[in-house]
Amino acid sequence: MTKVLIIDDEVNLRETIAEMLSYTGYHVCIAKDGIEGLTKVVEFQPNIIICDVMMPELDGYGFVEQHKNSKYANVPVVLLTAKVEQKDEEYGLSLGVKAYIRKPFTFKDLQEKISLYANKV
Amino acid sequence: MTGGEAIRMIGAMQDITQEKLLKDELLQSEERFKGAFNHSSLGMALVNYEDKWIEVNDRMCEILGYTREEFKNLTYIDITFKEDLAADLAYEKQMQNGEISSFNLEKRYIHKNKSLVWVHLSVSAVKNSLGEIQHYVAQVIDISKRKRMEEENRLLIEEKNRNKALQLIEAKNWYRLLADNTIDLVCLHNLDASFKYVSPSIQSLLGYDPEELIGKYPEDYVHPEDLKKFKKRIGSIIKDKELFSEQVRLRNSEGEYIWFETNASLVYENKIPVSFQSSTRDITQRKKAEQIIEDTLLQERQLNELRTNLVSTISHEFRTPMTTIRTSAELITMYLQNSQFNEALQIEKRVKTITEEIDRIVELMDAVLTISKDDAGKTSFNPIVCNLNEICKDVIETSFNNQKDNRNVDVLFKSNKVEIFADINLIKYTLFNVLSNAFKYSEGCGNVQLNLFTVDDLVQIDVIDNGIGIPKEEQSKLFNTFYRASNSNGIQGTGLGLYIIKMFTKKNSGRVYLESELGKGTKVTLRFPLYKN
Repeated sequence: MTKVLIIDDEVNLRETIAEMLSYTGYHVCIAKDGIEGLTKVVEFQPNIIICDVMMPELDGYGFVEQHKNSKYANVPVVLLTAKVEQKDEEYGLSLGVKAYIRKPFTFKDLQEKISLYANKV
Repeated sequence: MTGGEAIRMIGAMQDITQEKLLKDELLQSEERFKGAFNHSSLGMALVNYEDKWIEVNDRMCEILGYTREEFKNLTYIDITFKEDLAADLAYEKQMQNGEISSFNLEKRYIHKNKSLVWVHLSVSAVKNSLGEIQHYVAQVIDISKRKRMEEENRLLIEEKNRNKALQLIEAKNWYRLLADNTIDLVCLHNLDASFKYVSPSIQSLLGYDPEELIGKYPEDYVHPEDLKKFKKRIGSIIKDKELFSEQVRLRNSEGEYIWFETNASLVYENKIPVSFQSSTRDITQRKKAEQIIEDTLLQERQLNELRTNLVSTISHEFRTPMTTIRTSAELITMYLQNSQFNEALQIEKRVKTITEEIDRIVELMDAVLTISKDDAGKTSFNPIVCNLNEICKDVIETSFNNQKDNRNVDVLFKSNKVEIFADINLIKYTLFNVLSNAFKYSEGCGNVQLNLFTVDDLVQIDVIDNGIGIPKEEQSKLFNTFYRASNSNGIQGTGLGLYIIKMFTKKNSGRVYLESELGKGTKVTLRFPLYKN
């Protein structure tokens, strides 16, 4: 079962996404910000990380920077964000993430990216 | 002879033929000379050592009005105009000393009628075999006519010069009057910039007495912050002979600074710069107005920025709840598909409406954000040379190839590899919106046509649909914000699409046109200048 870590500070959103992915057959774990995300990566060892950008404490960009230099750097990251401008996407991709999904997204979008980039189980 | 009786007669004969002949010849030559003398068109005279007239000819009598008899009782000194006598006597002396043997002179004689007669006089001395002067031969040409003309010319020129001088004085007076009475400050400067003349207007402008500034330097009155540029300007007017116009603050007699605009230019005399003049105007009012405009602009900019930030914040902040709602709706749909609700169909329909409306709000938010960003001058614009055919293909393949109703874009490139200089993102956005409109308003009316071709130095893209069209009277309003055609009911839209299309097309140096017929279809035309190397 593909393990997906969802990092988002919005409780309703992260829980809805988690519920949706669980319902469609993924093993899901959630974190409320970048810092929690980093610990969850270690604990949960996901196959892919779906991460928000604008979060308190450690934001998505900060998370990606630290994750890149961690033991688990091989776990791919997809950014899921309300920052919709071209330059935001360019910056995000420049950090080495696999994909940049704008909010609001469709399930189809999300599923496509997961199946495309998640490390094989 | 004896007793009075002649006793003998002594006769001597001498041949005098030769003498006679010589005498005759002399006589003849004398006659010839006399003839030449008397009938000469020049006035001629012989004057003796005592300056007396010995012989004059008719012409001479004619020129000076005296008879031959009267001449004989006169010396040339008697009838020479006093002012010209010295020169005449000096020449005579030189002749007597043997320094010269002739001279020429223009002089005035006193005519019998007391008038003065200008003549050209040539005098040569006739000497005997011992080299002593016997008499003088004088030749006289009447030049009074010429002299009169010369005099007239001279008088005329003098008159002219006098008039010129008068005019100059008058002009000077006018200028002075102007300078003295102008509201602006008018100054004349030495080449070291020190004041040479200062118009009285300085009194009312800066409170100084014009006299107290003479010899002083303008920079002593310039605001320290303006001093550098002012000195540079003064330097350049003298060095590079440039005019200058500069705004500077000048200190008045109370120590306050006032804004002035000063214009200066060099003053030349015989093509050499001798000074420069400046004309200086109080621009306090203008500066105030400029300040107000600047403040207003700044305020507007700040307001625009605030609005953009607000819109941007709203857009960000709304996006997450929208996402939650949309995702929830999708999740509900998933649940429904695996359950046996009686009202499953109705619920599904409602959920679909929720999703559609969320999409609409998001679309509207995006459009408002785009416009507000552009209002604040924050649209990113990075034009490059790009291939328009490729961009069209790309947009169509990415977004219009898999239409739900299986419709397509029929593409006709009449020109290949058409290059324009534009921002690719803006062009793509524009094309996407034009094509998306074409599909949206032509459901069930066949494919959408895209033609690309060049006309002169322009490239034209026509996007043609056979849809519902737009009422004629509404077409001009379509490019306004939030305007939607009256027949667009039931078709979702923001009312901002065409506004943004126009905005982006303009940014890319292009133009957009629209032709439409109600019930028949719409053609949107985009034109861009072709890229030239």
